[in-house]
Amino acid sequence: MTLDTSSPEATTPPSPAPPAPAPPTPTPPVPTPPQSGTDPTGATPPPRPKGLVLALTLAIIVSVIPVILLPVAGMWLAVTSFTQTQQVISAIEAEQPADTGTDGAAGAALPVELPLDVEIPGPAYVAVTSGFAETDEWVALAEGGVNGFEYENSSTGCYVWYTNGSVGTDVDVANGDRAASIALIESALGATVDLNLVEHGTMSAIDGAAFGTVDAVEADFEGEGFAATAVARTFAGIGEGVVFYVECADEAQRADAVATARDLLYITLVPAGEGLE
Amino acid sequence: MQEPVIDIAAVLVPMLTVWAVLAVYAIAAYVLSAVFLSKIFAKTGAAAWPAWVPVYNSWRMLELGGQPGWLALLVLVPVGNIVAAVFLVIAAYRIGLGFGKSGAWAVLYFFVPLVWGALVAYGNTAPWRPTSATASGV
Repeated sequence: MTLDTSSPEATTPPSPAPPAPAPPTPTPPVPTPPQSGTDPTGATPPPRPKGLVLALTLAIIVSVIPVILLPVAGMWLAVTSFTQTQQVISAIEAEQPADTGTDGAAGAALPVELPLDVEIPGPAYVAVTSGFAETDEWVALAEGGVNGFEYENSSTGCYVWYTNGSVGTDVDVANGDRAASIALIESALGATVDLNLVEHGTMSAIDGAAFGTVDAVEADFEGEGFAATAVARTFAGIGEGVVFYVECADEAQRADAVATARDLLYITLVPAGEGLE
Repeated sequence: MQEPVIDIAAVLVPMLTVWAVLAVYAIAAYVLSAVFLSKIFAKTGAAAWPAWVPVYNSWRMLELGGQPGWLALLVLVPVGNIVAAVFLVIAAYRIGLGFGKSGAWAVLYFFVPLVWGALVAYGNTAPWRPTSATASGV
């Protein structure tokens, strides 16, 4: 018999009992080698809980989703958005000049070289850029209004008048630009123009940084103490026109004044609904 | 007419991917946390079903951690959800103590609550013994 010191009975006070035989020689318990997976103290470790590995694996996988996948997807979205935005900006910048008609390349949609009967794509109006106001030699008599602009040369006394806009119903635009331009002179000056005296004239055109030539008609008027020239151009297709009239005391001064007018007045075709900058 | 310059698909695909990832994560996190919490609730002797009820599962967890359950309602309030999160971490700390875990497990809960849930729910823990500050909640 071995004494199990771990048993509760070992601590229980012995009850009176008949005399025992000779006390046995205590024999130490035979140590058994610890088996793998068992505690050296002899306590059996608790079994591995069921489902722990699976639960832990799933928990780790799901926890990793926002840490790894979301930043990757977010970066992908950010890069794509940035790329697309850049493409849109580039496209807008590339299209803007042709659409606005307000800067140097804007006139690409409308021609700057304007021969007679030139085909003008889309509705447009005629704008005139004048340099008369910037010259000291020419004094403004009237600026704007229904009757246009008037300037007088302070040294020569030459007179310049010009106007632009819709030609209205007074000008017949059915017979092309040349006939309409002659009709514009007649309408503007209230005079009849001898067709035999009508010559080919020119005006200057500008569209941003581009310069061009506007073909026009030119009629000279001469009388007692004056020599005058009217240069007009009607764009029959859009019903718009421009005319300038120069009057001087003699032909020489008139020629100089006409040349000055050609240098200082610039015609621009502007798409309808837009303005000049 | 000009070609459209925006590639709709190039924008939509990553956007939908982000949302898909979020949706998958939300569903998976909800299911796993519900499973783990129900197991934890059952370990404490409480009813397991509240673990599947949004907000109420936080309510029960707060009560288990000795906190007033109504604090869970703060998750519905902007900024208040941060307050609720702080109290949930405190509750997780006390629940860990109740299961014989050290206070460091609250850090685990703070960073990876699902892993905390898996270990407490399915790992070896001491029998549930509410700490002095912890109500049994059952």
